[in-house]
Amino acid sequence: MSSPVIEVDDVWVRMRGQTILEGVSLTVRQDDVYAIIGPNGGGKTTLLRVILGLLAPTSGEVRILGGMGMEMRRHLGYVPQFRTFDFEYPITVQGMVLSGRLGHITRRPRRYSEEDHARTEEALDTLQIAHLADRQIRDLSGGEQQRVIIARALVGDPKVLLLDEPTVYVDAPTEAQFYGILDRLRDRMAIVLVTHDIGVLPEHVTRVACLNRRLYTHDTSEITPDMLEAAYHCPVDLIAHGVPHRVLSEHSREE
Amino acid sequence: MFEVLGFEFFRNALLAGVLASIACGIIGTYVVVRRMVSVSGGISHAAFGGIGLGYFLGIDPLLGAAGFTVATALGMGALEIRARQQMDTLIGAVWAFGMAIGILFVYLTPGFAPDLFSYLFGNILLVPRGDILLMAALVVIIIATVAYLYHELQAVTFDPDYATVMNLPVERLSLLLLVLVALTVVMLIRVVGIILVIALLTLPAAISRLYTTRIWSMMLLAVGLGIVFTLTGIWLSYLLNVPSGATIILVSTLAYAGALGVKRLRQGE
Repeated sequence: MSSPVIEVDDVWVRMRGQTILEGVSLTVRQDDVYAIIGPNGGGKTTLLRVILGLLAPTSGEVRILGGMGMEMRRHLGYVPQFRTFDFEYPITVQGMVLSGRLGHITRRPRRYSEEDHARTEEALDTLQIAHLADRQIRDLSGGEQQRVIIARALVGDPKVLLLDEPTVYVDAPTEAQFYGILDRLRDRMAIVLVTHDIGVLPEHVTRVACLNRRLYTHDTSEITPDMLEAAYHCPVDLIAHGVPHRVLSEHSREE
Repeated sequence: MFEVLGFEFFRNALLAGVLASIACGIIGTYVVVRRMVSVSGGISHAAFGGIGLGYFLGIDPLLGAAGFTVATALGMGALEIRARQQMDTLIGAVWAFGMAIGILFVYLTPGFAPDLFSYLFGNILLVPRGDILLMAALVVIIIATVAYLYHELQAVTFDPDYATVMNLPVERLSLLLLVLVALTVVMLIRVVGIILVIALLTLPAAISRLYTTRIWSMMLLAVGLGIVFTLTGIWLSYLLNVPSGATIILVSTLAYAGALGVKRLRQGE
């Protein structure tokens, strides 16, 4: 088995008297494409923020590549939720992707080197947005904006790519394209994907966990009915097993 | 109409207008893109507390304002990091608290406060030579800081979470930015007064935003627009014999309305 890149060990988060994460432990390995699914408000974003060091857990610890210090998080590539972005900000695609290198620049004042520019071009090529380099981010389509956010995460040479609800605001063809991109990246880094949309898990997910305050895991890449039931606190019908995972809930049938 | 340039007070006024515009264009750009307009409004009104304190202690009111606004900015910055939710209520409270403190101090100070009105509404024609030098020093500090920390400030104002993950000193940079806002506000009090500061700080940058695609170009255009607005305002106020601060703001708001209108028309085509 390959070595762990992220280890979350018995993490608890309590805020304003509410328990948001309860004894969450998980291990992400180098070759994983790890999907964490769960209902809205189940603590998915909170767990990501704990891993990223943006939120200190009430108890428990997170190790990245075996290390605990904050400097370890430069090995993480973060693709935040779409709506947290201010796309009105005056910045070009190239400027935004370049900014992902800032964490690696050691000299002061921080200025971009030839290598930073080269890495940026490479990331733009990987995501097929090189022709958009000089465009404003606000003038792009949703799918293009998403690829810019991923490119920014890639230029930091991450060992793990963490994606928070990447498919919420994109249409079906863009989504298919997005999973194509993930497929190309999975040989280079571990991928952690957080989503409430259990109908769209990509083919190559190696592990699935359900999160609703507690984390329900399974050793395989399958979602089992008891995991879903435990996580969603209601009976969920698993229509098709295997690839791609497709599930329909009782709720959606009633609608 | 050019004979007025022979007067030192008028040359000082023009110089003060240009210096204020440079500070506004640079710092206002961050205020607009980071959406710190209401925080800046809170800081500028809190300045009145400092002016009152200055009168009460018998020191230069602007010195009181500088101390008071920097303290307010740091306090609000610390609160923003800890209690993000109730931020607008807090800003409203600080806003009113500053004004109230100022009124009390002015009331408690024996005698009449002679140029209180000019702190509220500004009087660029009364800027003394010493203040011009202070303004120039402040402009140099702002330019040097922004040039040195350009990429960091961009990262922090664009996506603070990502900047944190990259291990940039986000809290310190945010506080630094707030202190620069506070100092710029104090500098603008002479020009347009406490009540109108927020307009001069944000309008040139907001218009510039419509036509630029990068932070540095947005700053440059905002500085240029600020200079045009203040000089036009000073000139008009002299010609029509009306208050300068209010005239500068009217010129700026009309230009902003015009710019928005032109943008609308273009989109309609």
